Amino acid sequence: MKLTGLSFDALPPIDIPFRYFLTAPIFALLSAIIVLIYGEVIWMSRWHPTTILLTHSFTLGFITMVMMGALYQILPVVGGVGVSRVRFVGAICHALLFIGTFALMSHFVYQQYWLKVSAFIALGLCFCLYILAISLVLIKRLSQGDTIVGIRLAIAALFFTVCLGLLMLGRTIGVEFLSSSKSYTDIHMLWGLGWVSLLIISVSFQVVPMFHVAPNFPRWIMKLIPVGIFILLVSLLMLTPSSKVILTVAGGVLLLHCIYVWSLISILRQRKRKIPDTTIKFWQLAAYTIFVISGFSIVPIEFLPKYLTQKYSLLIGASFIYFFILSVLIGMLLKIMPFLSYTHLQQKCLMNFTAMEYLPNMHDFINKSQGNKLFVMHVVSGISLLVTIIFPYLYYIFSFALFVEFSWLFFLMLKTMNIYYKSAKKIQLASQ
Amino acid sequence: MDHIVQINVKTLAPPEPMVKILKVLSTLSEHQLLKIYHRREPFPLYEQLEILGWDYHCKRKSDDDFELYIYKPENKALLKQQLKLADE
Repeated sequence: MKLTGLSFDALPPIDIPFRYFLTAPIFALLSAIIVLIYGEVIWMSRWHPTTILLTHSFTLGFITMVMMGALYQILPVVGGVGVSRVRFVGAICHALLFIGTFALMSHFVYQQYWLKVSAFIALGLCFCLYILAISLVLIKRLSQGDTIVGIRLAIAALFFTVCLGLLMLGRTIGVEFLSSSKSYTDIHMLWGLGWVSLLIISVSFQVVPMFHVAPNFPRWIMKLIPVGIFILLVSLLMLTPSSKVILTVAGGVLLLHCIYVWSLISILRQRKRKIPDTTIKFWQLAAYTIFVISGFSIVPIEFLPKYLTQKYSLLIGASFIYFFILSVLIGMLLKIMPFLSYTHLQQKCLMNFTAMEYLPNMHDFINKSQGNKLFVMHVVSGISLLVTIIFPYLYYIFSFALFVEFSWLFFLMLKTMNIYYKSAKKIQLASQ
Repeated sequence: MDHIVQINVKTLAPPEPMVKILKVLSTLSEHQLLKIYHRREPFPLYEQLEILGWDYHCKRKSDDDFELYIYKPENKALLKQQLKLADE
């Protein structure tokens, strides 16, 4: 059938997702500077303000920034409908997320009332507008059911994460709807990781078979995993928060991740085009990380050496964020950025096929060697992070490795944009 | 000259399916219909077909089996004939 009602111009202008992608490494580079400035104190306890500062620099500044930008592009490709007024929504949300994250980070350093209020207003407005704009797309009857269901659950998880985050921030500026229990921080963190995981998993149901010519994920995996994770997260809101409940839910979520990555590894093995691909290495790294975390978490704590048990939750959380979430995001950026650039350039050649000669090769944007270097840098910086958690006096190694990795990623992004704009200019001149 | 041109892009990774389809379309006469075997519904392609003045019809056979027909609006009869043949 022909989709009447399919919104043409649904694909957003390239500068919308790219402005999010290009901003994200800036926060990762800021994180490297934070690690260097604050040194050992960051790794003493997860409740220290500088630890929370570093966490939000990564989770809001890098992870959420990339995922929000990517979703504008994913929805029209997967569901056939894009966000309406995408230029307005994309630009406003980007500016508010940047300002809000920066204000929140500054608040953790300077503890100023106006910074807290600024962060509260900017992040509140940003997520209200974003969730509303995305929800208006998701309430429509869209194709690719399981992926869209997963994205709906991810957006619901983002909503709960933001609500909890704003309520906790609001408590410090006189908006007291929430009691001061540390369990709320754990619930906020689990919902936050849930939003990222749900989106990664749901989108992977489409992009892994599509980009790597692999079989589809089994139907039961596509149906069970996102819904299962979401139900477990909802139970956190239903039950009285306690460390036992939180640990049980976290265990259940981890088990579902294990089932998912087992399936992911299996379908990657069955892919038809077995050509070397750095994005696949990132997917595999993410998958094996889940097995390692699960193995680590089922070992009785009394069997672990003291230097590991002291930093138990920090090690698990850092491994999950750095080796699972960041690996997938960086791997996908390596794939998506050249793909988007190429597709947008190709569209410019539609009315004049002779301009196709100015279309660069996909590998001209980011070549294999550059991608591989990024992978090695990511593994090295990840290992240095874990070493720093155990031996905090080695923080400067992690800071350096983090700075090198994200400078390289930033360079690759700028290179891609440069090639895109140069080629677009040539195509435009040829079409005149 | 055949009225139906068929291509299979199921084993190609993005953006190759779109590149191949647009290349074939650039050589297609206005009286021909392009039948494509695809693994997914190629939403981004639709926008490009609209710009180029082609109509399309997508038939979902299973989760990873789609048949896409591309034709000029005046050749809708050819599409109906093909769909009838495919159903038989």
